Amino acid sequence: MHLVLTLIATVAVFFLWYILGRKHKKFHLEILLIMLGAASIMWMVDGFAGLFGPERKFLGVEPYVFEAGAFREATADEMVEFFYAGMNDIALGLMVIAAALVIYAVIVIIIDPLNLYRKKKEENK
Amino acid sequence: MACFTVTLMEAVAVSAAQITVYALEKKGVIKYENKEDGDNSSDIKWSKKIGVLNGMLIGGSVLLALEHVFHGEVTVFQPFLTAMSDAEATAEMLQEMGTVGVAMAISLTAIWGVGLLIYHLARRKAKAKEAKKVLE
Repeated sequence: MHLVLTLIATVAVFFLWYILGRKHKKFHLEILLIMLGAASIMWMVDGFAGLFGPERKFLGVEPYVFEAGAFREATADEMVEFFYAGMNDIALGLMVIAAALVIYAVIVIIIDPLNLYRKKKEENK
Repeated sequence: MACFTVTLMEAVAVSAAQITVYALEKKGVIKYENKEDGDNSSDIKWSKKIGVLNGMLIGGSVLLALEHVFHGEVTVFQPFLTAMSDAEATAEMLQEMGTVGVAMAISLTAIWGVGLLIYHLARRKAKAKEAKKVLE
């Protein structure tokens, strides 16, 4: 699920960058886009590797079980387990997006695109 | 387990390449058609192009490292990677680094390369169009 959430965030940031990126170059929205996009690609590779793993799962929380060379439906207990694993994964996805936003915010503060700190420094001088 | 370390290692190498290219650009060894900043017709500097790959590698690695922290695979104490605590887990980790980690690094670099190729082809096409207009 963290892959799905990161992908959604990447698409959203892409459209934001496409619409606002040229007008507001100073804000370097491409940094956020590159970060989320790269993470999505890496998790996609991880997902494809998971398809060939012992569980044969792309996201890791799909409601089926691969056993003795065949897929079978999950039992009620296993479904509950998958549900909690999915919720845990959603929390991870949200945390990753939040972390990417925090990193981007720190970078923007350092870049200071509106020259707020520099102006204040000059005024103080 | 530690697949993000492969891309992180590549990022270190790419950073070194970026610094070298930047220094060569400053010295004038690598030249561009239009050097003015903000000029849309000017060629994007190679240091910037490599910077995009570097950003992809570092950004992706940081977010993946966070996922590993979330799953308790990375700790702040030695040996930092929980898979390093016993030989069996270490072997599994190295195998994952060699397969998934390398695949991640290759796919990121390949996607960057494809993007670069599209950019250069589009630029060449635009140049040819401009030349045609001048001749007419």
